[in-house]
Amino acid sequence: MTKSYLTPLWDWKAWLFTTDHKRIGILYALTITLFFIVGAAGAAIIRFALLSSHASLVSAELYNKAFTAHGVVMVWFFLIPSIPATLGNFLLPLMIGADDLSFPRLNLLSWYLFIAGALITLTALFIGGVDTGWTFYTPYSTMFSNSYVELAVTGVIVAGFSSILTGLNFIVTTHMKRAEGMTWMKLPLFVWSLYATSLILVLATPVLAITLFALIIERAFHIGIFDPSLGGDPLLFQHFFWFYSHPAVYIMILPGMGVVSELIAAYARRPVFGYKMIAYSSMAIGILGFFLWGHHMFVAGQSAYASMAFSILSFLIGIPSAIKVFNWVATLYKGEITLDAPMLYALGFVGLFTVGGLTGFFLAALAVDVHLHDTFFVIAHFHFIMVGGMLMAYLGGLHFWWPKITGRLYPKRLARWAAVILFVGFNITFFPQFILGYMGMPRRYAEYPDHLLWLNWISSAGTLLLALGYLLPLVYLVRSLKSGSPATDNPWDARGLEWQTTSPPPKENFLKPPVIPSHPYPYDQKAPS
Amino acid sequence: MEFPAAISQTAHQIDHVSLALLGMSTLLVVAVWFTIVLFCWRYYKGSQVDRTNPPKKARRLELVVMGIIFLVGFGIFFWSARLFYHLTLANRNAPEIFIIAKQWMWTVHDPRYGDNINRVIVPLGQPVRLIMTSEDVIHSFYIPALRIKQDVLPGRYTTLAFVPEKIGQYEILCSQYCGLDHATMRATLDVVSAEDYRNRTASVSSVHLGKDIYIKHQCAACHSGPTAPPLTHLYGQSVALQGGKHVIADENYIRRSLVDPNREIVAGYSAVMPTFQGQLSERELAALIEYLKAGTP
Repeated sequence: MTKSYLTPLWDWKAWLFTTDHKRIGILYALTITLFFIVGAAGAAIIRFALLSSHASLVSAELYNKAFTAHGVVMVWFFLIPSIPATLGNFLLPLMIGADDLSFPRLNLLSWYLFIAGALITLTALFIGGVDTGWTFYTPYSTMFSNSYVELAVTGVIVAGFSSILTGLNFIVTTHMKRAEGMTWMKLPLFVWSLYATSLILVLATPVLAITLFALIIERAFHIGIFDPSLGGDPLLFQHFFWFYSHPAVYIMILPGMGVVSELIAAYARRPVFGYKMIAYSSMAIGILGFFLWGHHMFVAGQSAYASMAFSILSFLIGIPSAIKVFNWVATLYKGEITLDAPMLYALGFVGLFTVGGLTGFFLAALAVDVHLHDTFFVIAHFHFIMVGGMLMAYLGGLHFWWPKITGRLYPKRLARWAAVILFVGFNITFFPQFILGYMGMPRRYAEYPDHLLWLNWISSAGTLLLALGYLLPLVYLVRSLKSGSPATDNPWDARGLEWQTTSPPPKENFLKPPVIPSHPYPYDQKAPS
Repeated sequence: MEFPAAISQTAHQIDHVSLALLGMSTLLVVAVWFTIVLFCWRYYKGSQVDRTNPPKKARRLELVVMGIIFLVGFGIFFWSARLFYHLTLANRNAPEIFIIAKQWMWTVHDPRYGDNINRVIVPLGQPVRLIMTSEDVIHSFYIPALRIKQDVLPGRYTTLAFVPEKIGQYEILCSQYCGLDHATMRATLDVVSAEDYRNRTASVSSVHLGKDIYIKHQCAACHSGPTAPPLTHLYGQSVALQGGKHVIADENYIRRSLVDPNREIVAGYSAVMPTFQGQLSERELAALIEYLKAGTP
C-alpha cells in the first residue's frame, strides 16, 4: 500500500508549505469555494433588492456595492482561477505523465499571491465596499467614487501576478514535462485548453495591472490620465480595460470547454470527434480573442468604422465556437451513452453555451447592440456563458475527478438530481433577463420601471432553485469525504493517464511510468491494466 | 408587461434584425438540443442499435457548419452595420438640441425651444440631433422606444440623431452606471406635433446668450484682427491646421478650440489663445457654439 499525496492529512504545515501540485490544487479549491460564497451573497442581495421596483428593500448604495462585490469577487477570485488553478493544477501533470509542474515552488507562490490579493480586495469590500462596478470605469472610479477603490484594485493587481505565474508554469510544463511518447496530438483536450488559457493569462494580465495602476495614480495623485478635466481621456481606460477583459472572458470559458471534451468522451465511450479541430479552435479562440475588445464600446464614442471592424471580428469568433459544439454533439453519435452527473453537467454546458454564444450574435450586431448594450440582455448573455458554461463545467469536472482527488465516491443519484436542479434553476433565473434587456431594463439599476416587475420576480424566484443546486453538491461531496465508499483507481473506466495511477495518487503521481495510448481518448480500446 | 413601442423607422428596422437573429438562434438551439436528446436516447448504453464503423471525422460536414455560420454571421453583420452606419451618420445637419448630463439629471438646451430639465421636447416627423456632453462622469442617453443609446462623456461632444414618428411621452434612461442615484437619472422624451413645437418660442435665445459671452470675454479683440483667425461663417468649413491637416469646424472642433486651444493651431497663426476650460460652463459653451453657428461675428 503506497502512501497517497493526502498523508499526512491533518498537518497544517504540510499543506501551507507544500509544493505538490495536487495539494496546491486543493488549496485553491477550498479558497475559491469561500470566495464563491461571498460572491453568491452579493448576487443574493441583488436579486432580493430587485423584488422591489422602487429600491424599498435595499438602499441604492448597498445595491451598488453588492453588484460591485459580486462582479469583482466572481470574476477575479472565482471564475478566473476556478478550473485552471484547481482542476488544472491537479490534473495537468497527471494527464501528461509528469510528477509535478515545471516550477513547483512558483506554483505555491502563485497561491499565496492569490490569497494576498483576495484578502486585500475582500478587506476593501468589508470595511465599506466599492461602488464602481467591476469595470471600474473612469472618471467615476478615479475622481468621483467615495469608496475603497484603491484597496480593491490593489488586490486585483496582486492576484493578477498569481494568474501570470500560473500561466507561465502551465506553458512551460506542457512544453517540457510531457512523458516520453506523449506528443502534442495525443494531449487531452483539457490540456490544450489550459495551454490556450495560459497564453491569455500571460499576455493579457500585465495590461490589466498597468491599467489599474494608472487608475490608482490618477485617483491618488490627480495626475491626468483618464479624466478630461485633468487632461486625460476616459475612453483610453476602456480600451485598456477591455484589451485585458475581453481575452479574460475566454480565460473564463476555454478551460470549461476542455473539461467538457473529457467528460463527453468518457460518458459516450467514444474518442472525441474532430479532436484536432477542437484543439485548434481553442488556440483560434485564444488568439482571435485579443482582437475583439472594441465590441464593448460600440456606443462609448469610438469611431463608427472601428466599431465595424470589431463587429465583423466578433462574428468570426462564432466559427471556432460552433466547431466545438458540432464536434461535441457528433461525439455522441454511435456512442454508448450513460447519463451520470458529470455527463449531465457536460450536456447542460453544451446546451447553455449554445444559447450564450448565439445571443452573443445579437450583441456583435452593431445596430442591435446600440439597443441592447448595458441592459440585462448583456447580463443574461454572459451569465449563460459564465454560469451555464464555466460553472457547469467546473461542477461536472469536480464530480468526474472527485474519486481521483479524494479517493471517495459520492451518491450518484443525488448528484444527478443536483445537476438537473441547477439546470432548471439557472434557466428560470437568467432566461427572463434576456426579455428584460430587450424591454429596456438597464443593468446596475437599483430601481426600475414598474412594468418590469413580473420578470424580475420570476428571475429572483429562480435563484432559490439555483441556490439549492449549489448547496446539494456542497453537502454530499463534503459528506462523502467521511462516509463515501472508497473509490477504485478507475471507477468510470476512463482513458486519461490520470486514471492509471491510484485514487488518490501518490505524491510522485506515478509509481511506474503510465502507458501512453496510440491515440487520444482510446475509448475504442480496453484500458491498460 | 409589454415591449416598448417602436416609434421610428430605425427602431422598427432594429426590431427586424433582432427578429431575424431570434429566428436563427431558435433554429440552431433547437437543432443542437434536439440532436443531443435524440443521440442520448438512441445510443443509450445497452440499446440495440447499429454502432459499427463510427466515423472519426467529418471534414465536409464541419466545413458546411463553418460556412453556414460564416454566411449567416456575415449577412447579419452587413445588415446591422448598414443600419448602424445610417444611425450614426444620417441627419448630420438636423437642428440640434444640447444635452448636458450631470449626476443625476439631464439639462436640455434647445436653441429653438428653450431650456428644460429631464424633458426633451421634439417635433413629430422631423429629424433631430442631440449634441451631448457631461459635466462629471460618463452617462449614457438611452431611449428604449427608439432602440438607441449613446454614451455621454465629459470633455467632448457625442451625438445622437433620430426622427420620432409617434406623438407621446417616452422613457429616457441613463444606461451607463454613474454613481449612487444612477437608476433615478431618467427623463421624458416628449414627441409633440410640429405645430405645437413651433408655437412655443425660446425663453432665452441661445444665440443671444452666446453673443453676450462673446462680448464679455472680448473674443473680437483678437478674432477681428490679424492675431487670430476670423470666425464669421466658420461652422461647417474645412480648417487648415499647422502641419497640413484639415478638420471640419463642427461642434467638437469649436469646443476643443475653446477648452484646449493649443491642440490644433490654425495654419498661419501662432498659439496665443488662452484656454477657457473651467471659465465657461457647458451651458455657456453650447450657447457660444450656437452664436458662432449663426454665422454673425
